[in-house]
Amino acid sequence: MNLKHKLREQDVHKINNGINQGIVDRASDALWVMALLFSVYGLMSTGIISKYDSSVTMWSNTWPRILFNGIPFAVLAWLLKRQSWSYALRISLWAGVQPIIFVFACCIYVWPLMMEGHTELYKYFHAANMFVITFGFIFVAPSPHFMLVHVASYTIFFLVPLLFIVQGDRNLYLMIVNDYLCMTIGACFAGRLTYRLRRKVSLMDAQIKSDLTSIVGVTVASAIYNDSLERLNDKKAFGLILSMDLRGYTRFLHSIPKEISSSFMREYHFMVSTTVGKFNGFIHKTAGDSHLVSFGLMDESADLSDISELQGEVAEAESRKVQFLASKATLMFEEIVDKFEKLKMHYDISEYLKMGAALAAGPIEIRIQGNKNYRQEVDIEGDAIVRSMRLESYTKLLINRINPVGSLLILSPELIEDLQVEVSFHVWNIREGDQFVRDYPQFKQVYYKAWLPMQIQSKKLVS
Amino acid sequence: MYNSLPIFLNLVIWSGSFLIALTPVLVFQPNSLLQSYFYFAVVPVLFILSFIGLAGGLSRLGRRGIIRGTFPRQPFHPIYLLRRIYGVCWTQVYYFKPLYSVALSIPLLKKLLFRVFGYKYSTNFVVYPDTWIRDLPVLKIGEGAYLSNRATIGTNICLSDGNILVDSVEVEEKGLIGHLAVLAPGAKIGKKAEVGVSATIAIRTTLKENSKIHPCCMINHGAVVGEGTKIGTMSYVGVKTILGPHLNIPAGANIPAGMVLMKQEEVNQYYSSETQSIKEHIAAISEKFRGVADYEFKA
Repeated sequence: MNLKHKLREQDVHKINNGINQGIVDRASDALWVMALLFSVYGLMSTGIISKYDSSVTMWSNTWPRILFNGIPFAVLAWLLKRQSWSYALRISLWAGVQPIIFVFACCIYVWPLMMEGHTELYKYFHAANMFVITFGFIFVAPSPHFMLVHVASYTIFFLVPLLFIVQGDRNLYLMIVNDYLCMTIGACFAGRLTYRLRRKVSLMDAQIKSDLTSIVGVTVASAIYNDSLERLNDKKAFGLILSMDLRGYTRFLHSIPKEISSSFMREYHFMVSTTVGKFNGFIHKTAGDSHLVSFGLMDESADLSDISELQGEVAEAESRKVQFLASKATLMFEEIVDKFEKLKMHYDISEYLKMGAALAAGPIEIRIQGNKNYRQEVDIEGDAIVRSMRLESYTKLLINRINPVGSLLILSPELIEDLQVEVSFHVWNIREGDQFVRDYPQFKQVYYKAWLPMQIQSKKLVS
Repeated sequence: MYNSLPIFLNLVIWSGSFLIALTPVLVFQPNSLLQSYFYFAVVPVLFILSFIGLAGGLSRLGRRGIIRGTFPRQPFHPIYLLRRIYGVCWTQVYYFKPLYSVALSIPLLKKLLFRVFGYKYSTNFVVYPDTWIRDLPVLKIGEGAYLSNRATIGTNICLSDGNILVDSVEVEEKGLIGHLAVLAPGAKIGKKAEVGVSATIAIRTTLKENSKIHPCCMINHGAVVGEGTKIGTMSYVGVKTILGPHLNIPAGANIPAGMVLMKQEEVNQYYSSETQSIKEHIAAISEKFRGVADYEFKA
């Protein structure tokens, strides 16, 4: 599974930056530790060195190590934290310069004494040297090319001069070569594994977030990822609800072979999801042929309800928002109907399958419902949802009376003033004896817009 | 009692600091001129440390009152009283510019000052002595952020209904707040986002990562500016307007309250209609004046 190719370029760039930041941080931490250890190493190594050179004192063995190791390591660690420098520069600096500072430590008494013939002195420091080298590779775990720079730097500045010094002692020479090769190869391998694991975890994390986003939407996915799901809970917002349903769906299922109906519905859901996404809507629920879509509800918006002074301005903003979103939702439904008719033509489905929808607006509460240990769901509550669903049911009656072959959208009365839609929408007067909108007997008028199927539209054009 | 509170706090902070600072001079008898110089040199150091320590220490009495919310501005309201204690202590340090600037210029002292006043996050950001900040416990400034001089990071605002609104202000990593810019309570400035010179970011407005507000813009209450979106100079964004990611809003744009613009085409369409309506107004006005001119000419 190549995760890198499934993610967007900018996501991969972000991941790479995160990984490089981790490398820089670990390199800096490692350098601080080395600054401390190399500064106090003079206290511990004096006894060993003084066996070969009696003039060595604690002071003479300590201050050069502080000056040439402790301080340079600390300065390098500080430089790595300079955010104005690129990651590549900072990691290269670590990979190239750290071995040079390490070699300074060798040059304090140890290598000069070895050059005077005391090559066996190196045996006391060999284990510590190998440990420091491997620690860098495994702990910092840089990307392969920086690892190569680090290996090259150690080889040029440490291994080659050391082999030159001990060339007379064949056993020591072979031991150094053998240990250096084994330790370096092993450490590089372990470091590379760590690097790949870190990268894979980051890519998987981004991929899971991307997959989660496609299922639950940006808002919920971000809330889950930022551990702020509680912020979504009990959020109140003003939004629009569009209930959509296919009219004649049961008849369609019974009259069409199952493979065709399944394939048609798959394409229908894909088309609705794409169009809703295009218009920045949010699909809350799908059940068979029906959709519950919201606009403006899951957008990130500030709650200003506690500031009484702003209520006038906020009401004006909400009104304009509803106006804007209602036009958007109407346009979206129009596009869905258009695509739906094309889909029907593609599958050669006759005219009886059509769409009924209703749009309502109002304050809506977002709640996280359910048992945390079983399954939770981001749910919405509000009168606008009930109103939109009841009006959507009413499309059944209106389609039969007005537009038996086409699709229909009903607007809830509260949207009429905001939208000023009297011109493009028609009015259906509910008279005595007519069926009322369920639970809303006070609605005496219903605003609707009807669309004819394409076949009929084209027939009309031809005639 | 209400009016004696600042007197009491100031007395403790000032007198205490002077007493502590003068201790070496008053208590120890110098044996040489060098020792005298040393004791006098220690006085300002001790004064700075004791002043910050005493003011910060006393501010802890009111720390519980530095919380988000709307509270009545009444002297004995439990939260407002605590806010006053904290406020008196903080302003003693803030308006004592020589001391405050010394504290800000030394990283360790800056950290100490911010910590004793309840700031919880990294102090690795740039802030000037005349950058207005207070309510440090509800402030969050990211590493590498830059708060220019004379910028206002307003965590509280007095309302005309007699209340005070307190909310957190967040400036994330490498956020940049320009000279004379104003951030109101609840403002959130994303990573590497930039607020230009003299721009105003109103209550609970969110600027996402890498967004850029050019000079003299007004982003009104509750607006959301998407990631990487740029707003041109002297533009106005209305209450609760939502702007999507990576948009370019032209200079002088007027986006009214409640708009939701998620794509550049929507911005272009909207902006052209705005300019169109202005053109229509200009045409109507010039038409009117042409009539007047004709009339005068004929007369």
